[in-house]
Amino acid sequence: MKVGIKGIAIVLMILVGWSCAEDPPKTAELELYVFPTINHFSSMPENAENPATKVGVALGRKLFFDPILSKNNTVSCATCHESAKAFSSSFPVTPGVDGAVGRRNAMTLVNLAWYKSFNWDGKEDHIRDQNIIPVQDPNEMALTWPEAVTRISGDDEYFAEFEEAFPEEDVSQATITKALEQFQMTLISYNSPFDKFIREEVQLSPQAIRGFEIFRTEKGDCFHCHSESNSPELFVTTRLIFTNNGLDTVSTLNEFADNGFGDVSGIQQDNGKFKIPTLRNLAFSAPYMHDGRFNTLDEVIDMYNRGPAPSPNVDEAMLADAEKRLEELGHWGLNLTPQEKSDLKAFLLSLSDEEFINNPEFQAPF
Amino acid sequence: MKKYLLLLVVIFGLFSCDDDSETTGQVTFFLNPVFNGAEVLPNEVIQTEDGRNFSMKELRVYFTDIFLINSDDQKVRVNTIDLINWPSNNTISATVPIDQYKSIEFHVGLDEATNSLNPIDFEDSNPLSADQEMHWGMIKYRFVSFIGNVDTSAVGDLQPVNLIQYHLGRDSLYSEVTINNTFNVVGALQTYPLTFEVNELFTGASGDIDIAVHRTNHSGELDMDKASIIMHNFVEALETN
Repeated sequence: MKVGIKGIAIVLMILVGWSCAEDPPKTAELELYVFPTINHFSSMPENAENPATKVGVALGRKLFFDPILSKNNTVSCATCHESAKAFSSSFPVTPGVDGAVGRRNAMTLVNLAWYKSFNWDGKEDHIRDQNIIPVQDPNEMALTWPEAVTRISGDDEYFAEFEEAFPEEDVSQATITKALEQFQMTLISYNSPFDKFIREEVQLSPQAIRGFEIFRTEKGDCFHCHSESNSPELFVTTRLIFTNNGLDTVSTLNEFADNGFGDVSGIQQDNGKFKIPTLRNLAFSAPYMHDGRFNTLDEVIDMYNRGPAPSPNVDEAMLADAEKRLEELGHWGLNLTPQEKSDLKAFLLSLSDEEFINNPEFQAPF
Repeated sequence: MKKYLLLLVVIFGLFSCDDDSETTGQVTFFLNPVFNGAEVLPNEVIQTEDGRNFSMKELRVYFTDIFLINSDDQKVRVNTIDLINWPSNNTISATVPIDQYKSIEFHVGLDEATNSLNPIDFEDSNPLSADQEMHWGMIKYRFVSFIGNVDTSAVGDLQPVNLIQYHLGRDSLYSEVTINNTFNVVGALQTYPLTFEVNELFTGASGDIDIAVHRTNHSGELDMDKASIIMHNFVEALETN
């Protein structure tokens, strides 16, 4: 075949065109998401393995609200983690695909970067790994990960968005969960009335102030598990992560309806222990506890007020304090008056952030 | 001439490069709880003076502003702030001038200014950080945290299973300690124990604590008298043998 000058010219033009085509942006060149500076929080832990980018966060937000990741396209992450509920659930246990029901209340998603473990039982150490479970759980989204990847890859819009957010990776379980993680990292709550009080921007009500005093002293004994000074981001403790807070009366360690952390650690002594949850946004996140048994904060306060229910591994500090109260004051529980309970509730509600649940960046993008 | 000048410079340079390590030595202090003079192990069952079984699980103490004092009454700093976590992280080390020191001074706890600092302002590894979980909104920093178990039965000779938790803090418990002893710091590592008889926490010159009855103390306002007894017994019990 003769190749004329024209042919050569065409080939050359094609080659030049290819070489001048814009290379896709590398991950390192993507514009990072700018997190807010929060002076009264400790430094936000870095996520070097999955730094949040603007395009990654946008993609994760879309995925979070999209039922595409469920078997019958009816359940999204937001089904169980409702933005108006501070990303918790309206139900004690939210029904999944085809009405299937698991056993635990959906935890509120807030200030996740500061947690050291995830889920009520601490099964996962990273947010993105936590994202794996609900997609494939038959009681939640009931979709296999290979099918999830196929769906996302086969959607032109998602495919292009993944190329943009993860230019050096294929669409995979890893990139889907990373996108979700990037969005979830942005769910930061820091403008509750109590936050503004700490920043000296507002005054708390006298009732909430009295409640704070109950909270942080032996009167309420909350500080053993919920520390406002060590963990202003979450109001949890930094060393003790899982505990049995005296919810249920059991005689042996095998009688718990849900072993919680015990099923993860494999240690019987850990049965009945659950992750200490944040106290932020309680005004929006009812019902409460790992199984959503309490519909109101009043019920929660009443539970703690009665003192820990007997079980072999109830939190040692709670137990010791209850025994001390019994010996020195003649009562096992906190013995709060109705006014004191109301004061404590007022303080707890002051940790709820209206700006967080109304933030347009945390709503469905479609 | 230039050659000799160069030689002088080299000789001077050699002499001026004295090895600093010949003038300093390493010292390490470690917290050493004992029972009748013998080292106490974590969760080892030991007895109070009236024969009640108890055990130690954890002891965390802020030791601050440790100084060695030499014969000229000069003070040499060993540390500023350290958090001892017995049994896991139990030592305080420093490099100090070689000398024969006659005493050691230090504080148990934090001074008022330090006690008012915010734990979230420190890196996780810092002894004052939130990660150490030594700070409570109620009392600021806990200076001493003692966790153990005691047998509260009538006879007191059973396995100790009831929790003892003493969390001692507040500015009034910031305590100064001076121990007269000879510390011969030479070039090699010297190790010195900060020893105390565990029993003397509960029975001492400052008063007595019945650990079967008074098992919890968070330095609340109503418990400060007992917190003070335990703290002062502790600092009085410390020695460096």
